[in-house]
Amino acid sequence: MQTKYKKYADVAALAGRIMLESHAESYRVEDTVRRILQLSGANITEVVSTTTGLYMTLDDSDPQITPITQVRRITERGNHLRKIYHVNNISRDLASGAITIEQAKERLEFIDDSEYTAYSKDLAIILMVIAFVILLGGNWMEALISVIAGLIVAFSRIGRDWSGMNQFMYGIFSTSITAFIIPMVVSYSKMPVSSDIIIISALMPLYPGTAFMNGIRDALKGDYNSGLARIADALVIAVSLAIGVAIGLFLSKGVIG
Amino acid sequence: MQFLFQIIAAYVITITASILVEAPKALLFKTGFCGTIGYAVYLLLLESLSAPLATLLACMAMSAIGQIFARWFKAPVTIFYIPSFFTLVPGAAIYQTAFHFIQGDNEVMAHYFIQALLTAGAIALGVYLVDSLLEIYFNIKRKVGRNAHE
Repeated sequence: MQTKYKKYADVAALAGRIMLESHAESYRVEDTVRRILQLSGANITEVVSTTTGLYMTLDDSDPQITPITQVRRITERGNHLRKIYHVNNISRDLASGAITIEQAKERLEFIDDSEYTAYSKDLAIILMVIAFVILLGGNWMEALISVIAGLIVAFSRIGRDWSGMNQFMYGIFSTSITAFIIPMVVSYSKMPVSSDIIIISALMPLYPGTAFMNGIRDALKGDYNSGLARIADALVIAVSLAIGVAIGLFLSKGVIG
Repeated sequence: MQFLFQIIAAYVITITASILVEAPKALLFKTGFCGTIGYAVYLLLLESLSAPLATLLACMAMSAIGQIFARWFKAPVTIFYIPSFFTLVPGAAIYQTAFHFIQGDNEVMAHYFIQALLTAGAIALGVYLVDSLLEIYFNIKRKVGRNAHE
């Protein structure tokens, strides 16, 4: 009996850890982990999740059962909506009885490889910058120059991975280089284009969309602890982008004169 | 013509944003429609309404479509939400805030700063309203269903 409960607790903790590492909302993590724990048949299940940790207890009113408590500290997080989707499907299948707990464990351990290569993400950044120039009403010359801006942002991603800088420094670093180089390119090309639209478009891939959206949704569910932490996270990154633009424009103004 | 280009751009943006946040490949092209329809609503409303109000209504449209897609394709709703809202991000306002800060033009800076906050608030309010209304709807539906059962 005890080993059976242990098995459910392990699977639930694994599912919760994968979701938290993929930037899932806290309420969603708590919900999924609780559902898996309840499948074990024990009648006391408590789950608390924050942005940095998962705490859960599985217990029964039967005094024979020793309570199982597990804690997971989450140190690395990244945008992997795909993993949340797969964990969601596995938990759904498990709840409906389509797969056993052992199969669920196997499938959860199998999720950990990425569908996208780093190059496809760089390509996505460049395409996104061009698309934003068109969305904001830029002409074809601005779209052409925005390829350079896209390349700068994509390359600064490599710089981040190499130097291991945090989100705040990355925001300042990538936007200041873009805001420094683009006005110079525009002024030397002598074409009738504005650098504003190009720089605005280059900022777009860097916006903290996930943190902002999850913050709203967590706050909505009454989890102000995680919700405000995520919104603060989004605000700090947005401020870092503004600081980076200010630095870059200031420097390029000095060069162009 | 301009409108058509912008709609296509919105579709490309939503799909590239999905790749950046690693949405499941099978749902990529479906996510694109959520962002595109929302942005079309925004562009059409912008002719008669102010930008924050148009953002709010476009967000409500996006959230509603996202919720429908989430139930239809049996996927977490954030897969549709996060990439779609990239098209409405107040990027221009944040850039203008920094730009006028450099120029030392504090009044114009404050104007754009408030605009950025209003747009961000409109996005939050849009999601908030649709999600809350949906919660109320399901709650009532469950209660009515239970009463009918008894």
